[in-house]
Amino acid sequence: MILEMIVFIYLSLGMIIPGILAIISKNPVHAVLWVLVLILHQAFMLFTLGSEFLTAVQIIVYAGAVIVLFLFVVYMINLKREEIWKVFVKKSPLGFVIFLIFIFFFLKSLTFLTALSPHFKAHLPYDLTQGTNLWWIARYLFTHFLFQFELVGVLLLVVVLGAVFLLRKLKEVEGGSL
Amino acid sequence: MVTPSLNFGSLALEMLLLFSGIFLFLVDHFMKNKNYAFWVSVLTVIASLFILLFIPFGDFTKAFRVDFYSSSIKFLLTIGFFFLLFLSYPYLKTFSALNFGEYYGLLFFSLFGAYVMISSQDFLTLFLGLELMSVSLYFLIASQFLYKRHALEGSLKYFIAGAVSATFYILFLCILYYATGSIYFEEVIKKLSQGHLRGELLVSFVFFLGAFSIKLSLVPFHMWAPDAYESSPLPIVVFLAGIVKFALLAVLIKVLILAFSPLKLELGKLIIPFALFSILIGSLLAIKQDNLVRLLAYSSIAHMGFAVLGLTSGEFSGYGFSLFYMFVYLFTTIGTFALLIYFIKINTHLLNINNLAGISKDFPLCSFLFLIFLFSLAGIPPTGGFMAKFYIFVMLIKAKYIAVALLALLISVIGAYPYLRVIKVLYMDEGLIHYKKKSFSILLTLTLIVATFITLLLGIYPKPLLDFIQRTLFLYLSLQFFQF
Amino acid sequence: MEGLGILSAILWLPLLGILALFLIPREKEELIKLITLITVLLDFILSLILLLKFDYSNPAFQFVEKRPWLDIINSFYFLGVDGISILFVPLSTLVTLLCVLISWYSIEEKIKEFYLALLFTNIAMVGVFISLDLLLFYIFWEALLIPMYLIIGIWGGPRRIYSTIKFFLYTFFGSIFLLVAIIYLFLTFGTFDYTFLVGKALPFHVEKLLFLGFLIAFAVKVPMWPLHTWLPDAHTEAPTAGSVILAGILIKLGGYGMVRFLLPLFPQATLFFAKLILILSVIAIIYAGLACLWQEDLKRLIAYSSVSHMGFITLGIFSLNPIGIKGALLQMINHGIVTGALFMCVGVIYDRTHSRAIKYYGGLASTFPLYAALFMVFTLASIGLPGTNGFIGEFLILQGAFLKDRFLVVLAATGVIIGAAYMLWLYQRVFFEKPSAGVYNLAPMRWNELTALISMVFLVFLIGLYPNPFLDLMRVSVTKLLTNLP
Repeated sequence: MILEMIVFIYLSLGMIIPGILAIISKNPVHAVLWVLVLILHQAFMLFTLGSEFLTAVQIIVYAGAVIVLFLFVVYMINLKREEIWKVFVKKSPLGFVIFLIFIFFFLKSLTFLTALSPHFKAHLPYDLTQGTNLWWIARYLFTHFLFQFELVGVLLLVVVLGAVFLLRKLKEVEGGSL
Repeated sequence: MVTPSLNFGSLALEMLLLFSGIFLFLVDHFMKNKNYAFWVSVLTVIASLFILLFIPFGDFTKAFRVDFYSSSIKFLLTIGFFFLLFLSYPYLKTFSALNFGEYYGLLFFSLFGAYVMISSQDFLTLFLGLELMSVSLYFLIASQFLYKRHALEGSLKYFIAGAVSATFYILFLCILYYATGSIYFEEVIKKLSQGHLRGELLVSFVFFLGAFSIKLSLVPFHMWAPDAYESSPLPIVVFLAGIVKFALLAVLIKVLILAFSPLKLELGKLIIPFALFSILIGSLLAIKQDNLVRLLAYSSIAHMGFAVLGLTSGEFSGYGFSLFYMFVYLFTTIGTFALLIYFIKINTHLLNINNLAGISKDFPLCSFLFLIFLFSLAGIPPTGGFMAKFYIFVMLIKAKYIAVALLALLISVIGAYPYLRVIKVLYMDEGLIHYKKKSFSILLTLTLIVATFITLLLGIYPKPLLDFIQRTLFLYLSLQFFQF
Repeated sequence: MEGLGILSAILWLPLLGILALFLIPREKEELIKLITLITVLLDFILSLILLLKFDYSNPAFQFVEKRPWLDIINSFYFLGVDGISILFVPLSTLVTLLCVLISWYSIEEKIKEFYLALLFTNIAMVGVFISLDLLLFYIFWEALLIPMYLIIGIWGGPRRIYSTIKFFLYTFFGSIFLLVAIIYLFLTFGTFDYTFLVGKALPFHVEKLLFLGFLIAFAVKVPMWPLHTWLPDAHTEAPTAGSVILAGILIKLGGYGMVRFLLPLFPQATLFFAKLILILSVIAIIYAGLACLWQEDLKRLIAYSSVSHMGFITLGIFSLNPIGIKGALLQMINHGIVTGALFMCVGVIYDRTHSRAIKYYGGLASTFPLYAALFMVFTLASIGLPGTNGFIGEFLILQGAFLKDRFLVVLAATGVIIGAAYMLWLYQRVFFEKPSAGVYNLAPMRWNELTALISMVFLVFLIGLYPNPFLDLMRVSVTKLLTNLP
């Protein structure tokens, strides 16, 4: 029990501190790497909660693909770190007030919710003794949530098509340079 | 585990839209003459109107349901979309660089998202529909990025606002699932009517409202609207301001009835500050605008404030009046933008208000129609805008929100000024430049006739439409009644 | 009840004119004017027929038309006239007719739009006077703003834009409270039907609030003293036809609304607030009368005199006895005729010299004698000389008010003297003294101006010498109106 607690606290801190560091670090590459650290901790947190599938997804998709893409973009745009900081500071007063208001509401609602009795376990719609996580998720995705699953497919299709749409226009104007 | 019913018949409309969207994307590369895309779209829309008339009601899995309400809303939306196509064609002719089949294809994807959203029976499908609707719009807003400097900026702002909205929504979804253990409307309302969980769901609804008010551009989440409107092609502004918001409001009403109706009074109170601030800030900021599209963007913020005021009473007729308001606004917007598209065809600088000075001399009929639409936006009888506002105020006073009604009305006096200013420039200022007349395309003419007719008819005799809308809603009333 | 009633015919006849005007190309200016003239003339004849067919011994509403309109909120298309509103219908159509005549040559640009606006004004004006459904009333009331905004703003004088926006926002602001009060009445009694609402009791505090809601809207239109500042601007900058409509009909709407709605719907509150309104009226009479003495602009002077005269009218209404109310109703007609005619007169010389400054003129009597004679008639009628219509109205009002409050009447009577002072001084400065350079070689009066002004002179003397038929028309209705008051 104590061990569980220690692991939990470590993982939570491992999510919160890199999150803050990612926001305040001046070098964008560092920021992205901090996000990577955050995501790894998140993945292990999910693992301790018993969902190995989500852990895999987290590592493969976020750590593997998304973060690499971010790094790629950061290198391509070649941001100057001081500039970011200036922009961030310049707009701060109003933004900061709004941020505080949001944080206030957020904390308020969180404390409100934690004060109520937790009944999350009861909502797990399936029994892990009868099959693995993956097996259950697959069953649900292809029967119960079929429609939503297909919708996600359409969503991805639209994103790809839209990106092609914009790029094709660029290409037609610049004479095929892209 | 029960295998869900796969009744593909009830998906017919959505499939049609999806397939014509994909078809346009597939074929467009091989077509030299781009007019085909318009005709394909018109055919699709006419076909979907027919499907809507004959489609059987039913479910596709537990997530998607075709019923009278959703079909009626889709019908109204499709009519609006039909005229949007009529606007798009002349606009794309003027800006031939945009004239791709993909333009219509993306519009169809967006409409597909809206329809899924309207028919959804759970919060996840609703979310996916919402995202589908918005994602296509990000591209459409940015579609002029090679020619308009700010196009990407507007699109990016809308995108970031959309991302924040999605975050809010996910948070809402988490809290909802945490509290009720389900994402289906029916289960949520069952849990709610048992009495406990009111607090949790109230908190969750705050996030839900946050997500929706970003998309509806309610204050304090309105910042994206003027930039996004200014940078998008004009027909897309109509889509953003009219059709998307109509769909969103319809869904909001559906959620309020089907999932949250035991909480409706508290939720109504939550909506009031959003609405009042939207009216105030939309009206105030519209005063200073020189760009017509920006002015209409701020006016749309104010109008959304009025429209959601109808939801505060928690009564079915109030919901109906909100929908009525949006319908009037949709057609007024269509008419206004039909005129703007004509103006932009004459000269792109005519979107600046000051350049419109004295244009009534050269274009008397256009100016007169513009006058009607502007008075409708300002809410002066005998136009539809007045009737729409009037019903909202009847609802507010009936719900004993007299102070709210008075405040909203007082602000609407300020809100009338921007429109008066445009009319002043049109009719009362001396124009220095004379513009040459350009031919008026038949599609624009038709759109204008219909929009004017509807705006005036709803101002004088709104009964048929109101009855229709109320009937769609009363179906839900009976549903609820039998459930408990 | 079936078929088209005469009220509907009067109301919607100008719509035919509007449709016809839409079909005529704008180059055919003469045809546009002619069609408008014929439409308005027919409308006027119809309203005269209405006047002849009206049964003045019947206190109930006559020529009633009631059709379902908006079921969902229980609102009807409900028209009818009684002794209070009967005179305003011919007055409205007459004023529009004269406006068409007087603008025949003076409006030179956007002719089609101008006559469209005039016809639209006619519909809205008549609609306000004959609708018995509160929602319908409000719609016509508000719709009137659109053409007036355009008439002042497009064809007005140099400061027209400021004036017209001020006018619009002022009156729009006022009518908001009216709207809220109407909706509240509807939600309390479930109907917009005026005849049903009369005599329904409300709690006193609610009644007071609703009274104030109605009052603000009417007081802005009348305009009563602290809310009058839009009027001098709007009157001054409006084109002649606009000023005539404003003075002739628009500001009567407020007075009519008071008689029609405030007194019967909120009798308790009326008694409660009567004193306040009487005091405000007297302030308006004296303040505006004194302000007239300062004015250097012809139109502005007449505009301020309107404020003063409207003070008399509210004084008569809130004296709350038959004599005072009859006097106020008659005086509204009189004021419409006389002030309208005075604005027309100013329009006549403005068209020729393009100046409204009093200093610019002088000695017009010797160079423009016919005009001077006509102006004299209206000046005297405005002062209220016996024999002219102004005398009858003012006399009845003062008599009625005397029964209510003697001290205030004494103060109000000084207003009459001030009125004589500013009008006669104006006449002296413009028509006598040494002729100024600008008043020679003025074009003679045209047929349209002569027709309009001479018909006004006829009316001035008709009402002045033989007011009985007019008073008879309203007698029973006014008596019935006052039975509701405790």
